[in-house]
Amino acid sequence: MEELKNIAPHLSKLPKKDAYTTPDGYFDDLPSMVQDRIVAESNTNKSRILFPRWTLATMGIATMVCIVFFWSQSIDNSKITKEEATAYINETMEQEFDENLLAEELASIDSELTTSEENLEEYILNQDIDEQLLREEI
Amino acid sequence: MADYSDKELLELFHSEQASYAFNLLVRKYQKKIYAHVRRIVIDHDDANDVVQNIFIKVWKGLEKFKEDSELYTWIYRISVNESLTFLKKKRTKFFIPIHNIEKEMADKIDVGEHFSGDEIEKKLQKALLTLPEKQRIVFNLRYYDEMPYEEMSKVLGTSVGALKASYHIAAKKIEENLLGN
Repeated sequence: MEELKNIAPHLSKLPKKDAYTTPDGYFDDLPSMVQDRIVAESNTNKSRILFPRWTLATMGIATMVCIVFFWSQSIDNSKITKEEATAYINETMEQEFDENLLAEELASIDSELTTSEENLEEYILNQDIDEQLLREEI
Repeated sequence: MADYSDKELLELFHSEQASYAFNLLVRKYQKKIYAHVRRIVIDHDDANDVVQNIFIKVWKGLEKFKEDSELYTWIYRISVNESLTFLKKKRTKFFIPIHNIEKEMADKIDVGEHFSGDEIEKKLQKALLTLPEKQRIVFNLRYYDEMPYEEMSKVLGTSVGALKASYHIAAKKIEENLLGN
């Protein structure tokens, strides 16, 4: 106190008190709060020993590799060989191809193909067709 | 509950009654350590967190404690380090460099939650917040805990001469602050 009187006389006269208070029962509960945290941290450390971070990281990477591998496999399986495609077409053509349907379709197309003689002449002139060859064909 | 000396507590700790011994240690030091921390961090909830961290560090380190220093010196050293670490984290939490945590702590004193002091006491506590952190710790240890400089030197790792100078400067600053207000 003598030390403080010399340096700070006004301060040395102030009553020294601890003005900071705590909630009721705080110090009764603090030891158990500390113990609970110690137990909780101990359990966290145990799980880290069972599954250290490097193990979890390795498992994660391995899982990703497997997913990518099986996904790429499924894409490859969608491709078929030329022989397989040919065999499918031949088989399907025999079973499913309806010739009557084709004939009907062709008939409908023919009826739409009429054109005037003027248009036909214009087409021939524009295409530089050999007239001699054309007469022979007709 | 019987008061155990630090030596007895350590013996009990090493004699397969570690949890019981540690419980006694916490009960022995909790009020002193809490008061010390609370004067630094001001807020009760913050002080609660820091105090628990301190005792958990004590628990973890007690097995290897070499008794080359007194037990309470070692505990106080942990308290100072944890309190300073807390304040450092608080400063870096806010990305705005002009943020003033001392202002925030002074506002908490004004609010008066878990604070029983009068206006003069509030002025004193706010004056303490104007000191640099380590100087504030030196002042608290000397003024409130009446810790001898030789023990303080072991706690803070600073020479006795430097600590005396630090305390004198701190006390003068507070005196000027109180007179100015």
